[in-house]
Amino acid sequence: MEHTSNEKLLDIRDLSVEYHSNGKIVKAVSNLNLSLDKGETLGFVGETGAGKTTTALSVLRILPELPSRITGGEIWFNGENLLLKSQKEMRQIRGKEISMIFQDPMTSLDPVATVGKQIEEMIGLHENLPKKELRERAAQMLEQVGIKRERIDDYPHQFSGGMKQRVVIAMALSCNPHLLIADEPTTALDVTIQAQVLELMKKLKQQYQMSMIMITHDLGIVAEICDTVAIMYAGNIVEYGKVAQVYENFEHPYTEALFDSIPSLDEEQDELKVISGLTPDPTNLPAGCPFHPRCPYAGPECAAQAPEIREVEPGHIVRCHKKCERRA
Amino acid sequence: MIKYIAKRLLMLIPILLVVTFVIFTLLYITPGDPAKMILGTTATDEAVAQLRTELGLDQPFLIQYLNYMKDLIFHFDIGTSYSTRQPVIQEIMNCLPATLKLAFSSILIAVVVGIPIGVISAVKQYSIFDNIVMVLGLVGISMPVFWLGLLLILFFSVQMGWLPASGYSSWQQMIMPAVTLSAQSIAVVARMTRSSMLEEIRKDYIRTVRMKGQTEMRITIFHGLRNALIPIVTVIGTQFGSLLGGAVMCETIFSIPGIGRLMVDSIKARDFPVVQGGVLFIAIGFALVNLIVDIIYAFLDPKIKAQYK
Amino acid sequence: MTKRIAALLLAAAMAVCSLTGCGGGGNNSETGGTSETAAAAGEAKDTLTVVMASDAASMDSADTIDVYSQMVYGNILETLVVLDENGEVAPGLAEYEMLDDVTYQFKLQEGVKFHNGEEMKASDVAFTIRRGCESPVLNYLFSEVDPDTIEVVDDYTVKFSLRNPSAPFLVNLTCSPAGIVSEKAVTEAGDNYGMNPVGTGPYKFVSWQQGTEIRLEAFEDYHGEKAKIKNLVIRLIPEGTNRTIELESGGADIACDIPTTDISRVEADENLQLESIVSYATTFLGFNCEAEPFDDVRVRQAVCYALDYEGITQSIMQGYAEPATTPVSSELLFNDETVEHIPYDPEKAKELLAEAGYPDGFDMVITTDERKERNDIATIAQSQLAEVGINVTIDSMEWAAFLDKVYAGEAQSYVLGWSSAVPDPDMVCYSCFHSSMIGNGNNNVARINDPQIDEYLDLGRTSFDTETRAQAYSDLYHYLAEAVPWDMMWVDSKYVGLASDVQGFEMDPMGAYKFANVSFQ
Repeated sequence: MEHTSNEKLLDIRDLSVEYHSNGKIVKAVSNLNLSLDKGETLGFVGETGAGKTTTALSVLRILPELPSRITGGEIWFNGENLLLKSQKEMRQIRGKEISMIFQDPMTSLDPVATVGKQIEEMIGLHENLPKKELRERAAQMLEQVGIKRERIDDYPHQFSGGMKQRVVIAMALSCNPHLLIADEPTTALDVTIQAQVLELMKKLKQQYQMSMIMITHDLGIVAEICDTVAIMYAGNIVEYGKVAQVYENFEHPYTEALFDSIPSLDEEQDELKVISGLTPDPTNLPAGCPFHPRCPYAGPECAAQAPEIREVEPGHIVRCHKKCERRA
Repeated sequence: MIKYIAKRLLMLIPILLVVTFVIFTLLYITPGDPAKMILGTTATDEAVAQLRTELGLDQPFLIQYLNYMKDLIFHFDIGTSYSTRQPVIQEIMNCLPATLKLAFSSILIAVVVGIPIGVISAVKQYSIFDNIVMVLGLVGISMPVFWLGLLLILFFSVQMGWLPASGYSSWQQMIMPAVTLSAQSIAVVARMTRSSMLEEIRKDYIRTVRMKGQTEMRITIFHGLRNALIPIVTVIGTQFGSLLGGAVMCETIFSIPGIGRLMVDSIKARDFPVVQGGVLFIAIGFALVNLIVDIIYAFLDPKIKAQYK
Repeated sequence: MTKRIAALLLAAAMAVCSLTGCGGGGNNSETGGTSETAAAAGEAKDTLTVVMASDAASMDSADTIDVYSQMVYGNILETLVVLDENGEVAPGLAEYEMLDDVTYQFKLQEGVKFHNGEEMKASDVAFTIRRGCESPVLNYLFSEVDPDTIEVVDDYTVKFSLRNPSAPFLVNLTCSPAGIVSEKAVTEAGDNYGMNPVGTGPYKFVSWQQGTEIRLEAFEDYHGEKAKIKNLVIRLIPEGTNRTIELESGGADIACDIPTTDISRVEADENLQLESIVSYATTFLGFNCEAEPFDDVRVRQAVCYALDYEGITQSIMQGYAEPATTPVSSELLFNDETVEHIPYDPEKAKELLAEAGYPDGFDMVITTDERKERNDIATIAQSQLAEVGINVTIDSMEWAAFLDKVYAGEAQSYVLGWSSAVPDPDMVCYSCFHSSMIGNGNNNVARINDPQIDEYLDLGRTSFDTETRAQAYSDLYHYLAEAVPWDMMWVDSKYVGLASDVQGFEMDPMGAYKFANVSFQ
């Protein structure tokens, strides 16, 4: 990928993150490269434990202090390397330039503060406004996400899961950030609510002209809302491209397996198709290509050497030794 | 909320009935004759018998109990001390200011010292500070009151002459007793704060607040501590409750005429009315402390407040 | 949120400060250094500060005779008669006359004022005596008085009769609990009198902050020589060491009941004086003479031979108490110094045991209360008795429970102490050794039933001739030294610490000190 850092909103280069736990080292993210243009919505797909959330938290630099360490790389945002910034500078970026919403709405909100106060806190941290205006802004944000403004003094426990997530979204967008990172925002919700929240996010994305990284394991959501998609496995991106490119023309055996495992409405299936083998032990990753133990196409070079990035078509890259001979 | 409080106050009544009955029975079956204790060994048996009749001690258990309850319920009269012939309520009221002063000062110290220590310890888990605090905490809980008290007196009164060794009126006099008594409470409060905070700061909403760009300090205090308070307040409540009646050692060493000493002396002297009255007071005190703690919960946690309607 | 927390903390701090203001206002004790009454050179100190171990229970003599209450009301009340330097009864508030061997007539001093301004009249005396008859607490002094015979002859003359002749009666009347009270004050105050005593004594009651201190003031209209120091403050410090510290730091002028561990320190201190006196209290190992094996006097004697009472006393009391030879304190009237305690002779003990039919010893239970010295006696006795084959189990229990057991006659042997409330030996001896005093809660806990003992006791009680009495008690003590219902250990002493400028202080064997003659150098 040859892009200058000036055009891109976010450019992660060679990022490596480790966790230390019980004396063992977990390589959560290894030499990851990823970038995002202004206005682009990137889908970030992978199984649990692949390293998606870690990558997201690294951008904001809110990884849990004790066990984790960023061991290498740069994160360029708006022309500046975030990894070199001081905590004070990062605090100004968090919430204002980059916002994040998390997976479980039930636990994402402070139980003892009203939703209004929590939104006000967000705004108050970045804008110096008198109290009345803060409250007005908070009320407006609630309305934006489809919640009556009279509920501004209600507590989180008085809302359902879906409405809580809306509050979280309202909070995250209240300072009009350039980038929103959404970490599986609908996973914990049931399907009908999921659809509502997604619709909301689409609408707001449009309204606020926001870039977004949507972390998810649901390929359907990616198809709905994302422009580009990155597939992550064992700490690194294995395939990346525009949604259409990857969905119609996937290269990587893992991507193939992912699509394959989606149950079909047409075919009759007795069992769900699974990917054979287990996700690799993060303290002890396989040599060479981390997917090779489970890969039906693996050859001797796959165990020996980690694959380089190869361009499949313009804008579509893959990390695999084997060219794809599967499709015409 | 008012209704809730009223309900709780009404619930006091069955509690107190049980308490009075249990104490009454216990005192009744305990060996030792109050009349003999009062008159001492110089008394003849006629004198002792006469006093027993005067005090109503020769009547059957149920009659004695019913008389006591009758006076308590209809006249709010909890009897007269066998030793001093003064109304029990007077004896207790005399001790109340000293006890309250001691209890309040100790708890204040425990809260002001214990909570920050616990917070810092939790935030800087496994650091040297944390380890030192844990060890000191163990020492604080295990240290006997009389040992610490006497040590303090020896150093600050005898050796340095900085502080007076007895009394409870001036603040200088209160420093050593309050510090002595607070040692255990500080340790308990600090440990509870630490463990409660450790739980809270791992929770998701803390991550959300951090995402907002809030400073660590405010995250710790206004989000973390605020949510961690409930078990801490509980523990402060029980500590305060036990300080109300249980500061005997401290009261003796520092010559503070509190309820603890009153109780011990009365038990030894078999001064039943004072023992009963004292226990009643302590039971009421404890129940009120619990009620106040529960009300504080309502202010700390909106879910709980909703339950109190 | 911050504001709320700050407000709460401020409220808490204010609550503590306001409580600091109310309550213990009277205590002005300062830090180590000079007390606030310490003199600038030349200025007279007008307050005497005394610290004692326990609060008075009441100021009403009819309510209580515990020594702490007595120390206070003993300075407020006066008695009809007093004891002079020779231990003889002398006139106090009145002169006395015996009309027959049971009838007494008292002629009161005129112009004696009570603290409430009223003059003391015969009616007050009659009231006091009647009150004494009715009070179970004062029963030990007034039991023999027949209340129907109390007669007010005129404004300054009172007459009454006893049921039986009692030689000790007048001596008993010299005790402070027999002090004369004002009929008016008692009737007006009703139940509250215990908090507001009125007497004719050199000090009058000012205030009582229960648990903290009692204040008395010199009575301006006192009929005799007025108290030398105007203000008397009696403060309560239960912890013994703290009393000594208070004395050393100048916060107190007189400290009562100095603990044995502090005595040498007070003695060595140049700025302090140590006063001591043998008290009326004795400590001993008592037997139940009604039950086996101690119904046999030889067995009792064997135990006495087996125990080294002097060694035990020295070891436990470290020289601060005298070994005792007589069953009552050597300070009481009619003491006999020729009485000898059975000496330490384990061989003789074994001989006696074999004679009595216990050649191999036997099992013995010693019951004691929780006090350290008493438990120590039991422990040492256990090891010394093991040498002669007696196997001792120690049963230690709480005081009131202990009394119950001993009085019920369930204790085979027991470590006990006895203190006399009056200077006359009759009270203790009669109630402890007379056969009529066995059981029913009476004080003959040794349960000794011996007609010879009864004879000596009756003689001591009923003969009015001092020499006959002295002889009777001497005979009694010698007899008891052989019959040993109690194996005597020691007589306690009282220790009081004084500041160097305190003079005129007199020790009292009971610890009910009077302060009217105390002054500062």
